[in-house]
Order: sequence, then structure tokens, then C-alpha cells
Amino acid sequence: MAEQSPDPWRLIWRFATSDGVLVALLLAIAVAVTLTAWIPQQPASNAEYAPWFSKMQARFGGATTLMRALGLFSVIPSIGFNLLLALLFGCLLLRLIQGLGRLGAGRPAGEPEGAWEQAVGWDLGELLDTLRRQRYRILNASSLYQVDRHPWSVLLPLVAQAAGLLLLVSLLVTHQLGWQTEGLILQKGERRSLPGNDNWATLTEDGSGVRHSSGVVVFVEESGPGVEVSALNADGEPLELLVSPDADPSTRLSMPLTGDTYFAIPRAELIGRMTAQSMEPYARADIQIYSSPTGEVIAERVTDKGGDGIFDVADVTLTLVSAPYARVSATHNPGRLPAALCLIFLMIGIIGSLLWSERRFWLRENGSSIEVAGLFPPWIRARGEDL
Amino acid sequence: MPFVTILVGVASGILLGAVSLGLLGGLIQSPALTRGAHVAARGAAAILVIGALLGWGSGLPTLESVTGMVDRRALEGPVLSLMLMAALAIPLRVDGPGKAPWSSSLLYVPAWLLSSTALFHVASPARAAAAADWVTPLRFSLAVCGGVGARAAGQSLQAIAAGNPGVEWPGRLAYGMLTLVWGVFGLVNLWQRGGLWVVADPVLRGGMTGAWLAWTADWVMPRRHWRIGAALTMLAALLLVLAAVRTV
Repeated sequence: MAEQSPDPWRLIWRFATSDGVLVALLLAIAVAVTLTAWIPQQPASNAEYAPWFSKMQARFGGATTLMRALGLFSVIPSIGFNLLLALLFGCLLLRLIQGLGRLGAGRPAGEPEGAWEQAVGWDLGELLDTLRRQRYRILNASSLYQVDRHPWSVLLPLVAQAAGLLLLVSLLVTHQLGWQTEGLILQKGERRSLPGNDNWATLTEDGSGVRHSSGVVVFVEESGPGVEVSALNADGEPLELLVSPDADPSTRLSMPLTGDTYFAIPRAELIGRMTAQSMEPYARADIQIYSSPTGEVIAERVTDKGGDGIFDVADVTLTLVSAPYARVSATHNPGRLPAALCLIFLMIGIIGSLLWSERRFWLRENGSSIEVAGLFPPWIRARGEDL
Repeated sequence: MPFVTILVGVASGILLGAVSLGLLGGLIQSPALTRGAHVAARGAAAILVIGALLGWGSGLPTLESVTGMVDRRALEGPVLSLMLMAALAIPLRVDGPGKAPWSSSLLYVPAWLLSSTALFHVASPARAAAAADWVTPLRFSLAVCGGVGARAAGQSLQAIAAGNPGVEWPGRLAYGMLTLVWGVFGLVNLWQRGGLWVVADPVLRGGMTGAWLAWTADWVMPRRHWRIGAALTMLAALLLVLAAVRTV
């Protein structure tokens, strides 16, 4: 009679849920993620690309082109990496289904595995009591006892796998529906629009914190002094100000004082230069006013304590009002709460599994001695050692 | 010569002596020499712990009075992390001789490598980062995880050399602690910045996550393939140590 060939679907299932496949996937993703720590990744914005690429050429020399061709500068967005994540998702899902089946079926007593060894100094009843106290489950078969950690040894890894699976889902949700803005400058009294519907962020009245629309997380990277400048001519009419030659003129300019900051009053032919005395939000600022186009310094002033000041220079009245700035990152992440819950359950599942590891071993009486086989804790070998 | 350089140099020398004594004791079947190696290694661990904690403490604002004892310039870069990891990588208890008594000397190899790297950093004129960047709770936690991970790597090295599975708890402890550190770091980022790894330092983000994934692979590996498991433990420990000492 011809031997029946194994079911190919069963073989595929066994392969997909095997430990080896999960180990290989985890290692491949680990290598890819580790690469990002050693190889600087390509910035998202086009403006930052050119200086970044110059740095890479200086650092890696002739290898830069090859590294770029291999996709080493954009590991995370690559198709290969996302394929690995998709495979990991599939593997975890199948293992979860399999694990739930195992959990539902319970774990019957099995055949002893491994060689029998003597457990020295133990009385069987005493040893079983010790194991019960350590929350082992003990199944009594005809001539031997099976000792294991069921159901915790199955349940806790399942919790970790389910949390890992949902964490991948929340990352996908974040990637598809979330957004992130970095390096956004907020100044006092200014309300900035953010991506999405009606999202906004603004500094609080005292400039110490940030208010924003719900569903957005705003993190202050750095804060410092800033100023709002306006100018009036001798007739009390507002003058237009320019922060750079190609900027739109405005009668009121808000500027963060991150270094030497310039502005121009074209109709009065004046140029102003401001420098904060410290990076405190309400720090005093030094002001120099130059005549344009001669470049002659015609006035040097310092703002009052608190950063405000009113100065008359060449028929122009300059008004400076302190307006601290904050450099912030804003994030909208719909997967935030699920991701946090998944992380908590992942930690519980893994640490619990480490404490309640899946070990199964067997005990039997052989004459007056006790023998043990399988993955037993080392302290069973000899009583009084390393409990 | 800075105080820390002397401590690291002495500890590194003692560890080299412990490895050599352990090898010699195993080869000529002298239990006294092997015991001597273990005692010497414990001494080196004590020296390294004192040096690392003194250095770390002097960087904290509340313990600035200690700063006078320690030359801060000698502690720039990952020296403190390397010292702490080397100290924790030394096992304080060594099981009796197995099939290959000389293999117990391999337990001290990771600690010796770490302390030698620390010595190289202390003596090297080009130092990468300011010491203040390294005195953070996250760096300290990573160094502790890395030290226990390096101990697991030493146990795995011995297990492969001796031909029988070694003790598992250092690897489990390293993985458990790393899971906790990685998870809490992710939660803090989620809470403060709205994303798991938003604007995080790429070295910590990539290095720590890569190391955690490698430890997870090690944990999933079936125990019957203990040789592959031991090799995986060594790889995971290496990634963890690199993540803990990598400068931005």
C-alpha cells in the first residue's frame, strides 16, 4: 500500500508557526533596526536632504553611492523592512490562533522526555508539596507525575504575542492616520495652525506652557526670548517692517531671538540688530540701529527688565514687546492609547513568562529513590542546594 | 594619573590574571589555581563597582561634593557605562568543574574585554562625548542591562566550550530588565511626545530596539537547541553592550 503523503496545508501551518521562523524574522528585523543606529537615515524634508547627503559623502566617501543603492539610508520606509513586519504580523497571528487552541484544549499528561536522573535527599510527598507551593501543576499518571506550569506558561506568552500583534497594528494606524511636525516655532500671542482639521497650538499667556487643540500632543523642545517689533513715524503712522529682503512687509513683526536677529524699516532707511542677553524667555536684549545704506551705527539701546522697550531713533518710535518663543514638535497619533496598552501588556506577558517559564518534567519513584526527567529546575537534583 | 585610570587599569589587569589562572588551573587540574582565579575576579568586580558608582555619583547634582575625588575628564564618553558593565559581567558564584574545568575562565572574558575597552577610552586622547550626556537614568539602566547581558554571554561562552547547557538566569534577568527599560522608555515617549520613538535619539531608538528584538529571538529559541541559543545570547548581549556604549 502506498504511503499517504502529508497534508501540504498542515506542513505550511507547522512551518509558519514554528519557533525557527519567528526567531529568523525577529533577528532580521533586529539587524535592520540596529543599522539605523549606526547609519544616519535620510531626512524626510527635501530642504534637509542636500546638507545631509554632503555629510554622508564626507563620512562614508566612495561607499555612499553603494550604500544608497542598497537602501541603507532609508531602512524603515523600505519595502523589504515593511515586508518583514508583515510576515511577523502573519506569524504572530497564526501562533496566537494556535496558542488559543492549546489553551482551550488544556495540556494532558505526555510521555517523559530526556534521561531519568536521581533526585537526592527528597521524599516524594515532600517534593510534591514544595512544587505545589511554587505554583506548579501536578498531573498524576499511573506510575509517574507530570509537573508543569499550565495554564500560565501558555497564557502569558499568548498575552505577549497578542500585545506584540496589536502594537504592530497601532504602528500601522499611526503611520496611516497620524502626522508629526518638528521644529515649529510658537511665539506669545500667536496661534499656529497644524495639519488636520482645525488643529492649532499656541503659547500660554505667561509663555511658560503650550495650549493646543484636543487630539494633538505638543512637546516643547526648547524655549527662549522673542520680541514683537512695531515702528511709528513722526506723524504717528505705522511703518512697514521687513525681516528679510524677500519677505512680505508687515507693520508688526514677531521674531524669536535665537542669535543675532535683523529687521529693516525701508521707508526710514534703518536696519535693526537685536541680540538677547540670555536665553531666559523674558531676557533683556541689546539693540543696534544702523543707517541704510551707509551702515553707520546711529543708536545702541537695551530693553527694560522683562524685555520691553520704547525708543525714539531718527524720527521713528520703535516699540518692542517681549514675546517669548518655544520650538515645539506636534504629533497627532490615533494609535497612542492602544500602543500604550499594548506596551503594558507586552511587558506583563514577557516578564510573567520569564517568571513562569514553560517547563515540563516528570517524577517517578524507583524503589526507594526518586527520579526526575525533562526540563526540571536544577535544585531538584539535590535537596538543600541552590533552592 | 587620574584615579579612575588607576582603578580601571588595576581591574583590567586582575581580570586578565583571572582568565590566565583559570585556564592554567583547568589545564593542570589545580583546583587551588581555579579558586584563586575566582577570588581575583571578585576583587576586580569590587574595584570596578566602586569606580563606576563613584564616577556616576559625582555627576549627580546632589553628590557634587564627590567630584573633587574624581577627575571628570577621565570619565568622558562611555567609560562609566563600560566600568559598570564590566563589574556586573563578573559572576560571583561559579559552579563546580564540568567536563572542561578550564572553561570557567571564559566566564571572565566579557568583563575583561569591557574593562580593557574602558581603559582604552580613558587613555585615548580623542574622547567622543561630554560626561554629562552619560549620567542619565536611561544610560544607567542600559548599562545595568548590558552588564547582566555580558554575564549571560560569558555563561554561554562557557556552555559552548564545556559542551553542556549553562545557567539561564543571567540571560532571563537581562531580557526582563531590558523589556522593562524599553517598555517604560516607549511609554514615556508616548506620553510626552505622542509617539513611540518621536524625535528620540536614533542610537537609543535603533540600538535599544535592535537589542531587545535579538533578546526576544533568544527567548523564543527552543531550549533543546541550546548551542544555537547560546550563540544567540552572545549576539544579543553584544548588541545590547554596543547600544549602551554607542555615542550619539
